[in-house]
Amino acid sequence: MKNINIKYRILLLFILVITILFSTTVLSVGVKRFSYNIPEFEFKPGLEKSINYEAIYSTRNTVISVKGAFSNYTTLSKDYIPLENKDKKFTLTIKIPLNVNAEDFKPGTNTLMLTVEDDLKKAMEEETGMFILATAARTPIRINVPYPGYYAEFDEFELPSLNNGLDTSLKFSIWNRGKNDLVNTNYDFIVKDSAGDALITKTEGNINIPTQEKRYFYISPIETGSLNPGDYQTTLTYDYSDKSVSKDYKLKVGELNVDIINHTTQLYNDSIQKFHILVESDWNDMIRGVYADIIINGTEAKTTPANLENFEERTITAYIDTTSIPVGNHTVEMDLYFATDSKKQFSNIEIIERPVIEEPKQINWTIIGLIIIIVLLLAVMVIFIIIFSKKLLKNDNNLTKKVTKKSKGVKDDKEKPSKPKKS
Amino acid sequence: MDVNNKTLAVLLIAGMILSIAGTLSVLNNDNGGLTGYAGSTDTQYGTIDYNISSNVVLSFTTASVDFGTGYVDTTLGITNCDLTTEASGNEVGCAGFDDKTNSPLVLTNIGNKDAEVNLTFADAVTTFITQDGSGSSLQLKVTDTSGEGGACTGTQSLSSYVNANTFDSAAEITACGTFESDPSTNSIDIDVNLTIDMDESGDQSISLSAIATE
Repeated sequence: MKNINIKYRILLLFILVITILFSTTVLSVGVKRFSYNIPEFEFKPGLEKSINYEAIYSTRNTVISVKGAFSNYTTLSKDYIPLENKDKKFTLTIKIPLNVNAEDFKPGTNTLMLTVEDDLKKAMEEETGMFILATAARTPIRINVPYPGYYAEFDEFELPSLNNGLDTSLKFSIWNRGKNDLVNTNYDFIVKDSAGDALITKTEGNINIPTQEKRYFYISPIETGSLNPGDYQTTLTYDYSDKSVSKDYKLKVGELNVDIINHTTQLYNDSIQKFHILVESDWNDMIRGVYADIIINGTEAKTTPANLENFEERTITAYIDTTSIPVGNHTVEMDLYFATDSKKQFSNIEIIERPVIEEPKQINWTIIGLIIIIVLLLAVMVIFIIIFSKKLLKNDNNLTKKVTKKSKGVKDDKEKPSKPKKS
Repeated sequence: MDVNNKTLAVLLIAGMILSIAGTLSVLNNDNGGLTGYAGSTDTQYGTIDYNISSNVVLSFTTASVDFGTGYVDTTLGITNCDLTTEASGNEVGCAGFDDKTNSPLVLTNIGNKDAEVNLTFADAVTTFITQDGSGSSLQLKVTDTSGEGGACTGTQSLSSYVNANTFDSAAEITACGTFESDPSTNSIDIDVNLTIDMDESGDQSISLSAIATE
């Protein structure tokens, strides 16, 4: 029992020392919304929405506030959460009255900003130091107010690149963000060559989109199978009322090819050196196991193989022993292997001597200081343990003596003949 | 009761016939045959749902800079002293102050979303240090923490030292247009450079807020 007690005390002391040595102050606060995407609503008189949040990682009392165009129409279930409160969840409710009009607000996207922050006022009253630090987290809520008249925007747009010989497709959506319905409108989609001449054209007319609604379009196939590999400029134009909106996008038609874009041009002559080759895939799919053999003045090396994603640029690296290569300019031969194909490329490389740099010896006084502090603390701890152990040992001896004395007394008592009871 | 071999053989054959007949009957059943068969009309679907929350959180993992107590050592003919959290800093013209043990403030994005980070001083910097042109100044600089390259991208208005009076009294400055949440690159250092003129006095403190916006 006595041993356990000593061990327990030593452990506690050790934990205390370690805690003092390594304890640091951390300040934080954050906000958690129970849905990943930023909430976004279309303006409508009478709109009512509630969003749930939680203040997280708070290290002080938390202040919650809302600012922005619609903040007058919001309520918070909590605007202050003391640190000791376990329930840090709260709800923001947006309630737009029936008697307000879109014209009362800025057309387009209006952002309400919910802020969760440290109670800085209290912190400044209670804390000391040169800098009183504070953290805050802001998260937006978007409310889209319709524009007066006619107003359209593209929203989603998806035009996948492809490999030569294949057709592609186009997915997009048009959002009527104006107060008026869009009636009898049309779009054009054009794929152009490098001279700007139309190669493929797709059109659709008689499109009607009611106010504040979004309409999705899907054009398939777009006959790109006859196009040569390369990059093509595409333009999608939507004409409505007397206005139009357009979007340009580069369409890539791939071929099974990998090009060397760049490579290391200078190496030291004294060791095994890294030789980097920057390669670029022209293929709209993964090319596995792309590698290169390099030869400099008869010394060979091979890069590690790499998998290139669609149209990816990537560096592959070879380790080459340059110790037997003379200083000077040389030709580097690079054989690049990809899929079932290969290509050879010659370039220049310079082999140089490594300059001698004398680095000044630096003493890290911070680390030395820390080591001294730790050693001193450990020494104090050892001395404390020795003193403490001696004291306990002394107490133990005293106790042993007492027990021995007592047991001896009992033994003596036993040995003494008992006095006859008086009758 | 005694059962002879003949009776046993008859019972065995009868049992086999019943077993085969039963099997054929089940297999030929028009309503799906074998019990447990997953027919097109009785398929049950289960769903697995999950929802990732959006967490926007900033944490000062190193939250203290204190240069201590001292004074401007005018005996050297210098009228101000420079204190900095950078390792290369020294204490030119400073007596008593200590900046050798100070490290920068370290701010970490411990949420799961990239965020814009703005810094602001709650009060006018002149309440902390005069900044009256006499030589005093407070400057901040934000860089990626060592080994966390790419933590701060986009607009970086504090990539070199900027006077604090340009973002005090609730005027914010964008330290990082995008502060990464990837745990391998989610820390930035905020270095402080404080120049104290010989005219400064008293025990001063100021509040610096770091704000993350989703």
